[in-house]
Amino acid sequence: MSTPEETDPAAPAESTALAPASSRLPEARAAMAAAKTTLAGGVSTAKALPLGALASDIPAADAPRSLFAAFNELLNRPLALVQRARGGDRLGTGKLFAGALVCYVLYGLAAGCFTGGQDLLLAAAKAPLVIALTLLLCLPSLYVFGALSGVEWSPRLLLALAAGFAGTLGLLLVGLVPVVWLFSVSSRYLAAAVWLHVLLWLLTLAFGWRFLRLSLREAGGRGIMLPWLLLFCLVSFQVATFLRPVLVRDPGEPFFATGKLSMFEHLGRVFDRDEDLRRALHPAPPQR
Amino acid sequence: MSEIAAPGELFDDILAGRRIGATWLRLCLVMSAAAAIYGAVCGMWNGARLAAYVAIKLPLALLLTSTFTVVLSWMVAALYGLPLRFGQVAVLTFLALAAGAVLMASLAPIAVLFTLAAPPPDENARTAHNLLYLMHTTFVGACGLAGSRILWCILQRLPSPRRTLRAVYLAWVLAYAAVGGEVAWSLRPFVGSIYEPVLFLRHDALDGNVYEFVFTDILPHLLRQL
Repeated sequence: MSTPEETDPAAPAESTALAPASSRLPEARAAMAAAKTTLAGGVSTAKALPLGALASDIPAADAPRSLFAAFNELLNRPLALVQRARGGDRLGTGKLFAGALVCYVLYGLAAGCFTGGQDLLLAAAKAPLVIALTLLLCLPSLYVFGALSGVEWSPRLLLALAAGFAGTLGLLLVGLVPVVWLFSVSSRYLAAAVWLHVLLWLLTLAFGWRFLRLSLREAGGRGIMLPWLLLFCLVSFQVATFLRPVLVRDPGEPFFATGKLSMFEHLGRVFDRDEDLRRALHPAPPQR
Repeated sequence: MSEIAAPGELFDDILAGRRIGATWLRLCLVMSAAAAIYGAVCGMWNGARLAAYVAIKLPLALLLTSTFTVVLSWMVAALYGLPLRFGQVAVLTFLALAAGAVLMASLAPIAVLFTLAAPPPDENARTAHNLLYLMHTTFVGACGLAGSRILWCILQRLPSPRRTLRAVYLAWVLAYAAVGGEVAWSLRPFVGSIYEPVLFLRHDALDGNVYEFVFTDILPHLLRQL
């Protein structure tokens, strides 16, 4: 995998200190106007500028006006959000949170196709809940881990980072929807579906990590934040267990199961559940 | 077709974002025609009906694979900071599989030779079936991989670090392989079974995925043999 400096066109060359956006607004607007290239769909983005020049040359663009523009900015200039947070401009995080929620629901719907019927709604409701609760539970530790690594937090910065991280996860998950749908409608075993989601979730977190690493570096963080991401990953598995059932609900089973269960036991139950189906499909040869 | 053989101008057009829609349409047609030729050869062992079915299904498999992976490919490219728009990524996605399909079509005469040399499909022709299956799987896999090299050539023209380009290329190829395998599995049969009648799609087309089959059927069977 590449380092952020190599991969991100918006990564600043050296200094992370930027002048307040308001003081450089005319220059910024001029730079943006020069840089914008109109896409076929009428969306503008700053791709005509040389790579590596964006973040430092354009201090803080205005907050995107539409949901699509907010996600487009997150994809093409992930640091713009952090730069706005450090200035005084409107952040536009509401759009990111709302968009991320829609993406999670879409992913949940695709995942629910594993059993279909009412489980479509079950997964569509649980997927956003799992991610939102995980994010909420891990936000305090993000603050502390970040502060220990040198980030100068402000409420706006924390909000921007949380929104950007949630949005990045949403983007990846919605990009995976066709793949998830295909495997969900065709998988026979619950364990196969669970492993698929675990793998895709890890992939999604890897890209979420890329956003976090770039943003925290932009915000002055110099420590290693990887442990936080591992924590986030583990917490998400336990939250999924806590909010079970997520993919399949047995007849008569409540929407939220009660009783204590660890994620490892939960995974074990998934395999046990599949064992009956496996025996039915591949009966053991008769004993002589 | 000539664009894939000598793609300099095509590369320029894609990178400049020129004629994206028309290029995409042409690639779809080339991919469908070339895959139909190979598909007809693939199914011909089991008769004209399966040949006609596979002439439809193989292009369909490639089109579906491209369609299922295009959004993911675009997002991976964007998250890695490649200066590519969605339309450009879509054309690249289809270009790789179109190149693979053209390669497959070029191998069709060889596949015809081996198919005609095989005994007719009955219950005694299990070895012939397995050999044909292996040959087609190898041809399709190798052509797909070789076709994806065209992506690498075009990616290298982008002003991004080589490591980034390599990571994006790898992600795209893995997505093709994982999704393409499952799409092909769902659309089976391609070579045809020696035990079952010729069908367009199996009744259990979406009951179980290819990786479940590998891990719950193939691998345990092989392990039992050890």
